Amino acid sequence: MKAPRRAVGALALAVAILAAGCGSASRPAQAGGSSAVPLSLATAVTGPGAIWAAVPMGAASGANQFWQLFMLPAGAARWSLQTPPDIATNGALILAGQAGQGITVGERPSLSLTFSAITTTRNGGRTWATLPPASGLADVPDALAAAPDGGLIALGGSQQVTIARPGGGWTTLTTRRALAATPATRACALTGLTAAAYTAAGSPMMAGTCGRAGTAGIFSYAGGTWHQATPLLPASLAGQHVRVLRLARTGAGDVALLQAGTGPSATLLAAWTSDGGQRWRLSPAFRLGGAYAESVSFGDSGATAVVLSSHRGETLAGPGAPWRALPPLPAGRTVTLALPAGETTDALAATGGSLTVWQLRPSAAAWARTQAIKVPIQYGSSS
Amino acid sequence: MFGESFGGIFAPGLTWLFGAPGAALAYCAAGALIALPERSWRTPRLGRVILAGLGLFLAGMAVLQAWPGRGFWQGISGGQPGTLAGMVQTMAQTSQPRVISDLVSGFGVFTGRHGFAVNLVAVVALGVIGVAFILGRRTVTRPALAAFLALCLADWVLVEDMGIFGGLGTDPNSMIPMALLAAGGYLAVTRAPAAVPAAAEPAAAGPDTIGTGPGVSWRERLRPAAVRQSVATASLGTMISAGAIAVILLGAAPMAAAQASPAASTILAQAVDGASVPVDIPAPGFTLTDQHGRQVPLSGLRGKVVLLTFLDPVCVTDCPLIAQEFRQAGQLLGGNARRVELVAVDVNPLYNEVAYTQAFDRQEGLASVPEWLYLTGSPGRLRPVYRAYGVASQTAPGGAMLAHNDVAFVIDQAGHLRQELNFDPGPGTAATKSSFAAELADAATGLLGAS
Repeated sequence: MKAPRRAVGALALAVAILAAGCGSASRPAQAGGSSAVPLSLATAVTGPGAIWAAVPMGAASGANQFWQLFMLPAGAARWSLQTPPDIATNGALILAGQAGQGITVGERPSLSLTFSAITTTRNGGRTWATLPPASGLADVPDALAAAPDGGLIALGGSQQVTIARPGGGWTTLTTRRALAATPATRACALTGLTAAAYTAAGSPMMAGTCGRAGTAGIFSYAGGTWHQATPLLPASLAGQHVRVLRLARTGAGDVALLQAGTGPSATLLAAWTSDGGQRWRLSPAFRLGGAYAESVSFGDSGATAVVLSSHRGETLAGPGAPWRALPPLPAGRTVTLALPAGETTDALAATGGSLTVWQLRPSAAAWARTQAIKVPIQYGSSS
Repeated sequence: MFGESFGGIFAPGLTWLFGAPGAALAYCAAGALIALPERSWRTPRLGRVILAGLGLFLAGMAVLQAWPGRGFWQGISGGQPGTLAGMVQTMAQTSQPRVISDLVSGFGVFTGRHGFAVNLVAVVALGVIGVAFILGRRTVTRPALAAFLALCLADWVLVEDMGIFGGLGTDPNSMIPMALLAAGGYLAVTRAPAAVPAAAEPAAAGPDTIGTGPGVSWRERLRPAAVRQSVATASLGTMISAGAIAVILLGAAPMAAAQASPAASTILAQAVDGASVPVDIPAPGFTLTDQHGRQVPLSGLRGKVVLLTFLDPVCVTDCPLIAQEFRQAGQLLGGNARRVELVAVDVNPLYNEVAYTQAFDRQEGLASVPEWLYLTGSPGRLRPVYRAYGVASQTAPGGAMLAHNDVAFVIDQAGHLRQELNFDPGPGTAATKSSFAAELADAATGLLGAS
């Protein structure tokens, strides 16, 4: 009996050594604190004719996660499923609002697909047309934006910025490296690009993260050169590194959501501009208290809604308004907030193939369930 | 089992850890064992045979697991998950309870980081347990059985998906029946009656049982007289059991032999999707736009062998693989490649702009392949081509890509369709898909040689 026991002991020891070896192997460096948590691409875009929401459904990630596009026509009460056809949406949808009931959608790369298909509808999803494909869009909600004339700007995964005139193909506008070398970004010490947008006048805007504390990296492009379009931050944030989480054009101008600092002392603040970034109005700072922003949506009037990792929600009614805490968010694997007109807030709670729409009216203290949509997800179709 | 090309165990990228051969093999083996007459279980011999057979199987699996070039040693390869990590991560995506998918997903990440160590543990475990089962000594088989049960449980929980709980699986995967087989074999060895009284086996006591009773050597059993007697007295259960074993061997042997053949890829591809369909009709003509914006009539390719397929430029799974098969077929053709045209037709009428076929070509490294043509056109031009070649496509809801059949056609130099090939790469990860490049190259070479 002794010999086999010794053999078993040796085997167990070998496995233990191997397991210890596994455990002691080096891990990839973690980017620090909550600042490294990426913002979800789940968001809602509100235009004058409709609200569009991109929601991850199916599995939590991977080949059986399918992003869905939902639309709520202006003034209507019920959302409908309008996911662009004939393309797998495993890599997420990036929304660029267009006029009326129009939307342009970029499909992020996934699985074997490395570029981004671009589709657009002008009639609320009844028919779709394709636009020239972009190189793989970056993993940020503002990697694609539409100009008032229908032109597009795209932020690629390799930090290159391309633009497409209406009816034309993509041409490179700049790269992070080139932009960082311009005088406009000198005070910022730009380290990365996080958002692309247009001003109301149709000038491209880019936002990113600054290496220098107390500075927000927002820049506009006009007359063939880049200009600083940075909001002046309160002195209390002077020592904080600032990251632009979102930058988008709304009916009331451009709105940005900034995160200053990391960890429990990190704060969020929104900034609005109606003149292309020359003057900004800032919201009060909102202390995150250890949570982080999971997803952010904007209303057409510049209203802002944030889903926090603590399963709470906060909204800003618009420029100058205070932060308002929402009642505890409805249950769901993901919750995406949307801001229809009239200060109501819709919460799109998705779990698997089921989407439940909850509504919070201005004077209500609790969410009311208004709609349920079952999405026929084709599990396994992308594997 | 045959439907899955014997569980795909010999296909590149598959391993016992993923449940290949599938649970069907274990069920067949269990069925064969159950069909054996009861007297077979009265001695430890059957248990030893089961354990030795399982040991041989596990040792073979250890060799396949350790075999260089099958991709199991790399956690991450070229920035992408290796074969082991990729498959585990794919299994985590199967619809199943979240707690299970989280476990599998976590192990997939772990395997990506420590692929070499994970594979080393698997190889060592399979090898040691296999050898212990083959030796068959009780003192060794007991700890080996315990280790095997632990390995099966760990693999079942951490690697194999639980699609059966998510509505997509049809069985609980292979580890449970494998573990039960081993436990059954062990119990047959340890719990068999020490001796069978002669009176209990009257049939075995007579003079006509020469060479078939317990304690008779294999040499005596294989004598013609003993074989004739065994066949004559075999029960129905014995016959069914022998038949089941024969079916397994009939399937496994050619697949194993295929590994030593230079045409293995073709054999495996045909095992997955069946042999190509020979045809001899004029290829339906069309004129479409290539990736450079030029109008290309099919008739303009006369004098060359045309390998034709239908690809979706925004497909995320099969089409890029098929495109790579075409590219590899061109490489396999060597000097003959200039006499062959590799042609794809855009099967997605929504994404029909040349910009999309160009983007696909760049993605797949086909932009610089001189004999490659990716043709597209308006929906009005594309749809008649789909009809003529029997290509069906359907818009699927819920963010799924366009559904279409994967086919390829071989057109000879005179413009005649000569073969239709089912090109569905089968289930699994990119590493486990079957290779059709050799099949394509063979077809083209055959036509070039015949001309």
